[in-house]
Amino acid sequence: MENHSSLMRKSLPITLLFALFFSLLSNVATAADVDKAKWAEGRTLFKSNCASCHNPKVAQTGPALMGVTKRWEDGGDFGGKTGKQWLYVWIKNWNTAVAAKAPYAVNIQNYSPSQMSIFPNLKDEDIDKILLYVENPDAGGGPTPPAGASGPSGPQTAESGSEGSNTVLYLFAGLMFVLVLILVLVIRRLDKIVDESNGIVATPKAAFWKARKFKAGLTLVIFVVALFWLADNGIRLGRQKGYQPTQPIRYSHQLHAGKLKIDCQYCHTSAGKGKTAGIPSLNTCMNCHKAVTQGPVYGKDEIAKIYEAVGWDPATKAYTKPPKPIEWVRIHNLPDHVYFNHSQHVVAGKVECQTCHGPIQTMPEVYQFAPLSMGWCVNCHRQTEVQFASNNYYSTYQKLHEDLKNHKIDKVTVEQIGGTECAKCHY
Amino acid sequence: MEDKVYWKGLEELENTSKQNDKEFADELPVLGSIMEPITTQGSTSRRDFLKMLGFSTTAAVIAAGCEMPVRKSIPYAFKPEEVIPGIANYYASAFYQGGDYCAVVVKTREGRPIKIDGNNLSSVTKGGTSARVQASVLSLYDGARFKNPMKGKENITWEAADKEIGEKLKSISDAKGKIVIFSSSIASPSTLAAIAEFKSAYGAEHLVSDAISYSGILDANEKTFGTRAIPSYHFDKAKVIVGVGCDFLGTWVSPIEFAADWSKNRKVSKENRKMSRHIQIESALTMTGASADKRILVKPSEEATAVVDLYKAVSGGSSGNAKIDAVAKELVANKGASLVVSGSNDANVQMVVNAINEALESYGSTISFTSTYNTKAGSDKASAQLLDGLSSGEIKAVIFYNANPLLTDRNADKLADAIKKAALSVSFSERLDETTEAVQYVCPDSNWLESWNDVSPKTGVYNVCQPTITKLFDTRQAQETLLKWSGSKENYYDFIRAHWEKNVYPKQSKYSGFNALWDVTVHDGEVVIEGGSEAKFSASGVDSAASAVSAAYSNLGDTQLKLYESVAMGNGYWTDNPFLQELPDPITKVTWGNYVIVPISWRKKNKVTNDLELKDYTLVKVTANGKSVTLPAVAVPGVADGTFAICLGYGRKATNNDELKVGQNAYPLLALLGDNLSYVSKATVEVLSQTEKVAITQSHHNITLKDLGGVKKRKVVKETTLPEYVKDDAAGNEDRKEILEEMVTLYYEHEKNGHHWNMSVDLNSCIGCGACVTACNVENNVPVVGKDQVIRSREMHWLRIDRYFTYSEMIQDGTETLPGENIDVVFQPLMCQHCDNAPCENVCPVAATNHSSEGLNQMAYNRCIGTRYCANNCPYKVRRFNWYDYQGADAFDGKRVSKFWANEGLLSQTTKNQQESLSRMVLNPDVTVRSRGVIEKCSFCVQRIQEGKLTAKKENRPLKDGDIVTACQTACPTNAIIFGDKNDKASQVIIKVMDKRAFGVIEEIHTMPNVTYLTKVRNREESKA
Repeated sequence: MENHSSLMRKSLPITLLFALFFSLLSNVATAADVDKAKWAEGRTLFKSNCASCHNPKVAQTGPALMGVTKRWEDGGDFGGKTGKQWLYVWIKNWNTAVAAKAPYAVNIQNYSPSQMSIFPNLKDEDIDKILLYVENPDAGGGPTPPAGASGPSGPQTAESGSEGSNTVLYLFAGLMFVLVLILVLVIRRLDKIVDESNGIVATPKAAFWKARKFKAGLTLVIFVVALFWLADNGIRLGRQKGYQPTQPIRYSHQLHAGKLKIDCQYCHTSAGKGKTAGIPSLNTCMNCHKAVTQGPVYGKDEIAKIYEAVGWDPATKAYTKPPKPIEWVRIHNLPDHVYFNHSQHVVAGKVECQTCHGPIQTMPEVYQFAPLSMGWCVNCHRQTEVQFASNNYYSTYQKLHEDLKNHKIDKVTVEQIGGTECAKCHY
Repeated sequence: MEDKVYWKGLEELENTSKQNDKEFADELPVLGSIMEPITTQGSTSRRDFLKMLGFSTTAAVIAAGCEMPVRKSIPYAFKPEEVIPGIANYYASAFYQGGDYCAVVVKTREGRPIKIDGNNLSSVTKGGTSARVQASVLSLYDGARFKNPMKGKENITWEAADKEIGEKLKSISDAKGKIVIFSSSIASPSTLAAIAEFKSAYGAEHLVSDAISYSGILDANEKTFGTRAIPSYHFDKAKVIVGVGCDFLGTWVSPIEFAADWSKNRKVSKENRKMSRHIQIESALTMTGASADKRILVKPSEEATAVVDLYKAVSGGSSGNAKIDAVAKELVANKGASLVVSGSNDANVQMVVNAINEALESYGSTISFTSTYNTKAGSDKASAQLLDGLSSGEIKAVIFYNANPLLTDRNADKLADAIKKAALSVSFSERLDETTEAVQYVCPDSNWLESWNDVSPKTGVYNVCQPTITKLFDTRQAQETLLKWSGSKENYYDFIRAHWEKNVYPKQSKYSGFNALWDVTVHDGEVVIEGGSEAKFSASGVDSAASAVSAAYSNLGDTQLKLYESVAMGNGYWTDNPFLQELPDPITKVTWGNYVIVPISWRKKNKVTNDLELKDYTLVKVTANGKSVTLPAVAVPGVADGTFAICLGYGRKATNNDELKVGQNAYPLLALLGDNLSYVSKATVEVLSQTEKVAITQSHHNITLKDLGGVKKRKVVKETTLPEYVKDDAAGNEDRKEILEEMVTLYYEHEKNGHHWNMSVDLNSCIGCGACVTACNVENNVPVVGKDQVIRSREMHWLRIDRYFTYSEMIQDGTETLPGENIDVVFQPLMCQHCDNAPCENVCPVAATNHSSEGLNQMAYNRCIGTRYCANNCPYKVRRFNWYDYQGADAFDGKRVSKFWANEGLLSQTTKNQQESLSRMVLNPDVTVRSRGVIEKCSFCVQRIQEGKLTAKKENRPLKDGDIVTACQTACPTNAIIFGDKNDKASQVIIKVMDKRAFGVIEEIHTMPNVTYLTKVRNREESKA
């Protein structure tokens, strides 16, 4: 099941790594020139005030801002203020600059149909910091490469790793067996020599594999092994830990959840409300991708697939065609007779997404992290504490509250409130 | 009281037939070709065993090597804001079908309606529902619905239909030809307005006729009150209720509303030891009669003459009938708080009833003309007008809307010929029926769940019906079709709003701005506008009516036919609905077909077979008014001598599924008396030598008492009388104290730290209507199994209503005490009792059924291996086994219908239909669809419990009483079922459980059931028995 990805996709993390490495190298020079603290403040200010419309490198609702200082300076002095000073005026309230007929301001006022917000509270030194960040967006060390990117993608590592250690064990066991066998043969040979030297002549025996006991024993062993194999396969039937199918769009959780730190529930809105976490509908994607037209890895290719599906024309910035939903390949499949509710775990249980989905923020392509077997569910229910003290719902369980108070029990697990009973999940 | 014996059927009482003590009457059916050689050898040999072992092992290995299929997850392109996958949305709407009305809330999942609940905000139905309302959601996903307009058998487009029909209508109207819309009663003001538009565009006429006619009472009210309408009845305000041949809890006028009102005065408790007195005068046993405190048995014709007698007695005279005089005495003693209703369709009878109620000062107290029903407006003259007009060629064009006269008209054969003469005939029917088959064009109406509409069930009460799903097929609302043909460009939604703005909005003052009124009505489902005045009674004509009644009914002879409406099937519209076909009749417990109800005495005399085990019933030929039907005879206790009753609506000729064509059509047997149809007539009955199988569930799933000391020792139901209850609130339930004291157990008791789910069922409120059974079916994906399977005792209902008979009076005959002919009935809804000491749990070899810490008896379907030990060990017989994969749980997409079973002829068409993708849209996604070979049973709606608990957790609050309601509880019109947490000291259920009336069914065997019942209390003098 793990081999769904093409060879190219497998090499992707390595490519990513190289790319990151080189980009880091190229950043070293600029990073040295920048005041780290001011840059960081600038980044924070930019993120909270400007990032909804601007990107330093990419034109979004507003223009790409890298080189903005130079552009304004090139716009020339006017009315006793330098071009850069007009930039400050523009940022605080662009209307003032336009009203004063500053040439560059007049020039760019109709850049976008959306009007820029005004920021009267920004001080000049804040703007300085923002500009510092905007002009050197990659300074300040850059983001740390995600853990998963440092090798071949996660599941393969885990699988081969565990397989490796098992092989060693098997080899070791095999060696030991051979050793024991040799020893037994040596002992028997020695016994025979001793017997012969003592004058005892061994009566010739029939070959041991012709013995009835041996035949019966062998049959039993084969039967047990076959049964075990069958049962093992039977249990594994329908389990697909590590399943990593190719998706119609190369959407990367590593980028969105890991690097951009978008909250999981921003897209998976119903995880906190309903049974399913919900794959976001295309209009959720378009909240950002109306503006973000280019990705860091695949450029415009993958985002174009969203536009194609949703019927958006990036040139005219309008929905022009009827939408067709995207057919994602479902990774986490529970049998029909299991009732699982996301909101139960996310809201009531306050369980992290990663507990079941693994290090999703490091996955360029999602794979199934947990076995999703009943044993795995039950195990967690046995160990996990419920939000007993903080959730008023549990006030009903008076006896458990008393037991806690009297130190008869030290915690209340899901199991103690009946979380391992059949009808909690099967109905 | 001690020797009161309850029995489900005559066979049990008389011990003439071997009882079905076994849960499973049959051995596992022969498994067809696979097992053929094995079974023919008689026993399974070691070689065969090894063969099977080898085969299954290989199969398992092959299966183990298979890869999982790739599953797709397809999100919305643009998600509607209100839809969250996995969370249900609820929309207020109103159900209206041929006179049946119910205010409802429709539960939808991902845009599919899957369940209908009652609307608690309704002033009419008050949150109750009926079996028909519950089952109606299944009709939406009926593959037999028309998928586009038709011309004859040919599919056409709407453009073509509009063009052709429009041209014909125009040429007919230009030539001054008569155009007629023939419909049942329409309670929608906007629909009537749309019809008015059509009428004015073409000079058309609107004929209204109801298959089950209320023409008699309407005509009587016109004569005595000057208004042709049925007034509101307030059964909750009446201390004495007399029903004369009137099934007001089951079928009459507005049964959901009446059941709710009636039950208010039937709920006795420690604090309130008063209840209404309900006397029923009737011939055949009805559901209403079964719940009455006193039944007076009369012949069908005497249901009419008894009214005249009662009139005489109430007005101070004597009727010469001691029983009637006694009734009159009680009524007069409660003047102003008494109510007399009659089910007769004879205007003269109803005029006398009006006079009785006037004499009892009922008008203005228990009956009110301030709000009258719009749901019954038909006239019996209309169908005659249609027939005459079509036969004479006067009517050139006819449009049928919500009417199927070729099934329901007494002259259907003549009408069928007459329709052929019309230049244009159109039907708006949703699906194939007898009339639709005979017309030139079918312009299919959309289902009510797909449509905007309004309903005004009573004057002053307005409901909005809103669509809860996009149209499934290329259908169009009838109203929209009429508007289009009238030349209007308006769509029907705008039309309704405009109509409301003009006609409803000005009548009220609560909301300023039309949108405010509209939005509230759409949200709540209802707006009530007070007003209306009482009508004045005029006594003229009453005396002549009384003498006309005496004359008309005096010589109908000793053998009389009574035709009636069945609780499930209605006028025949619902025969297309498999849920209702399989709902056992409240009284006879017969499914899938109609029959002749005969008195026990007649059965004995004529030696008619009633074999419950083989279900062979002797056929009889009933002839009345020159027509006859041949149907099996089912003897029912409590039926007056000489009464033969047949229910209407069966005997369909045109349906898409032959299995629905069960029974015989009894409409042709209707008589005409004066202007109105008469449901009573003189008849002859001939016993034939043949028998027919009847799918009767009476003897299925009997509570096994044989090894427990028999019916005399064990009490399954308990009852008492009001005077006894007033003295002691544990009356009838005295033995419970002793039973509880004697209980000792070797097993450890389950600890219930959190919740302890309990259910209480009030036997005094339960009327046996079956709304709960159908609600349970819809909620829990319970399959329909078909007639053949029901005959084999394999119906799957998780909840059944056991109906027990007992003799209500003993008669001294010389030295012997013999039971009289009158009987009492107890209805007992029986679902899994969730025993805290459950016999089923101990015997499961794989622990598939076990106990939860919340008191639930859990059933893990995927653990079940189908030994059926649990079902055999269950004393209540509430466990059901899936003999087939009825709903296609195991099959892959597109291959649901298992060819193997279908080819063997073992799966009914109804079952196969259930496996279609379209029918499966009704399934509740929160409940597992069970596959073949597993046991299932009532889960206390655990999906609702889990949902309720989760909501509380998410809202960070303790669970409140009433947060969790089971499907049966919401459906019940009389609130007989209460569910809740016994550990919650403020819950309603704890009050019921602690009540002295509470008892568990055969709890002396120490099952510790979590379902308790409240003793039935009858308002009568202490039992003589």
